[in-house]
Amino acid sequence: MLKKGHHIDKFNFATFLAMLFFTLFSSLNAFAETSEFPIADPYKATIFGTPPDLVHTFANPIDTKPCEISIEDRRIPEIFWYSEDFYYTTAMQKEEAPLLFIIAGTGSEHDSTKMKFLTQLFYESGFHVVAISSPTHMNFVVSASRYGAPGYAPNDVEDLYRVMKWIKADLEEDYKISGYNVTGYSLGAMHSAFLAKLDEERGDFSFDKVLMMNPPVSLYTSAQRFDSWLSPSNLGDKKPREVIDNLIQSFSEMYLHTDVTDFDDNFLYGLSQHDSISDMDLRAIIAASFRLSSANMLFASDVCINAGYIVPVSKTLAIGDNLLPYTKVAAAIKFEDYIDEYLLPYQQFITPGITKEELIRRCSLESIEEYLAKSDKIFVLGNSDDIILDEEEVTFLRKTFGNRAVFFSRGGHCGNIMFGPYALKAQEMLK
Amino acid sequence: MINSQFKYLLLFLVLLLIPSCATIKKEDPDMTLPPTGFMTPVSHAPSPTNIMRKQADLEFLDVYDPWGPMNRHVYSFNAEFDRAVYLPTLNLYTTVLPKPVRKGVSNAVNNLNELNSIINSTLQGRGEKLLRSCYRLIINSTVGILGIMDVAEDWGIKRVVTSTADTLGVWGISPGPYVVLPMFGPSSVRDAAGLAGDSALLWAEMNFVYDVLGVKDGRTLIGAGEATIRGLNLREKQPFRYYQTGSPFEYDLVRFLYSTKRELDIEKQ
Repeated sequence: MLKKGHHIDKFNFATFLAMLFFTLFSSLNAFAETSEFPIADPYKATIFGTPPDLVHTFANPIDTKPCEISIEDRRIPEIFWYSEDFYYTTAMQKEEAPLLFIIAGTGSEHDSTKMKFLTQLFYESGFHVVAISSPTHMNFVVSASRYGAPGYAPNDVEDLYRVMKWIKADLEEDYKISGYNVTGYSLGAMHSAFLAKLDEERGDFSFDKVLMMNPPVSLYTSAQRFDSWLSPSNLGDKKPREVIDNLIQSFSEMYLHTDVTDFDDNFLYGLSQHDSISDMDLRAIIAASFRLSSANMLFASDVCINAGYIVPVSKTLAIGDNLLPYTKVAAAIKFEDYIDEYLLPYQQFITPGITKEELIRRCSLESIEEYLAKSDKIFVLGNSDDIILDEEEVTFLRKTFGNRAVFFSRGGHCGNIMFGPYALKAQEMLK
Repeated sequence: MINSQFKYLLLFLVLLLIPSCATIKKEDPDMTLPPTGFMTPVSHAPSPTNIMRKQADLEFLDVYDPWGPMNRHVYSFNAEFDRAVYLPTLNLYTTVLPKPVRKGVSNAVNNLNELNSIINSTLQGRGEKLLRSCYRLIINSTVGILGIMDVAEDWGIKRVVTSTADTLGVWGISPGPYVVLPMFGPSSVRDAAGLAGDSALLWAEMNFVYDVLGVKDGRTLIGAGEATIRGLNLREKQPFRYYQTGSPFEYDLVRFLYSTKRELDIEKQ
């Protein structure tokens, strides 16, 4: 009898606790849904991302499948043996469903932190999901790029379109797919728009909806902005070396404690303990992270096409070779130099007559402005404080897309992608 | 007979459970990246002058690595081994054993390592860590049912993370050249010596355990099984995946991070 009473007491206490938690959590949710992104500084938002307790969570996360494409007889440099195949991820529904391709941002791969999140997010809202690395990621360059030199949007989009067609054909054999959609963040958002345009001509996918998350307007202007943040006029007395020193110091500490595997902008997340550093430093850190991505990209490209830009033409690198000297020179090359000295001459070699102006224009949304303005299946989700956009560019997006563009006031560049309200809005816009 | 058939069936079912995709194979002559003969008008090939340029000031990445070529080959081998053997086996391991069981395995392994912590804390002259390891060994071996449960952790007695390599570091022995060990990965001469010490100690400890348990036959086989489980347990806790950084300079970055991390670890001891 006594025992039973005790038991009931316990039960009541447990119920009480559960109710308390429930109330607490539901009020927290309400708070999250109505509240603004907590980080007001767009540079901090870009680097640190969404605070962990405000990250949108998934009730039933799916086990995603790692997949690969192998192109026969492709010349793969010996030192890149590990990137011989093209890797991507799928998350497929059991029932018939529409399929969504997600394109990663600059230097990011198909299963970077943000991509993993987006894969779960859109699987949750009912899509078959296919996550694809950015054409600027070395795996894409080495294994599946036609010309092996990323950064020129029309070529990169052709490469994406090709692998997407292959993947589509493969998946259609085993799954019921009711339609196609495409999304992407950052550079991947820009690619999505160009993919939509290309598909209007070719009709392989007939996309139902296209969502651009935090797109740049012009790849060139955004990259130039990053370069300027590492220039003496921005850094003053400080050398880039000192900024990178701080960065690597904190990064190595952080590396001990977190699951960081990617050198995209997520790898900077754990630096939040260094919030004492000035805006100037934050910009330099963002720019340094971009510089590292671009050094990775241009070295991989140079080795693949043997253009003699960083590695002498006569030199065939072997697995045992010291690559550090190449790291050093690659990290010193500005994006502008990459265009002038590498991308443009190579493009002129492939398509004689193309000018720098034309090349830059074709890497800009302005080149397809008319299409974007009238195509009502394309949507933009962004932040008005996005650091890769200036005021004019935000106005361009608002004007071109009208009420198909939604802007949050805070979040910087992709800083709020995992934030509840942003994530839910993204789901809603792709419904 | 039936037993072995059952085992194969089980293995087959398990493999079915592991999500995987078939490789799409494509033949496309446009996509073979044939040599074009294109050369950039400007070359930034490393030379003594341009490496020293201010913007390229990355010498913090330099680590004493006289055996670099060999190390890079071993790094590459490790990556291949990881992809072909280690990770697929880990996948099998995590699919077959549910999380609570793996947690138990991990706890038991940690419990056996307490002896290592006790000896090394003593050698480092760290009394607090020594006491903590002793408490944990006693509590977890008894209340924690031979170390399967980490009761001490629940009681707020945190595990001591140390090793013979740390002891050598605390004694002021410098790391010496960077070494990439087959299977084990990044190390240094000092840390490799420490690892040898840890292994010898473990060998002695396990023989003692077998003596106590009265295991006479098949120690080699049991030892191999036990080492495999240890290896899988270790890999499961390590989120690192080779070449996932997306950087062709990963070897250099990892070398730098490892060396920095070790210096920090020893500082923290």
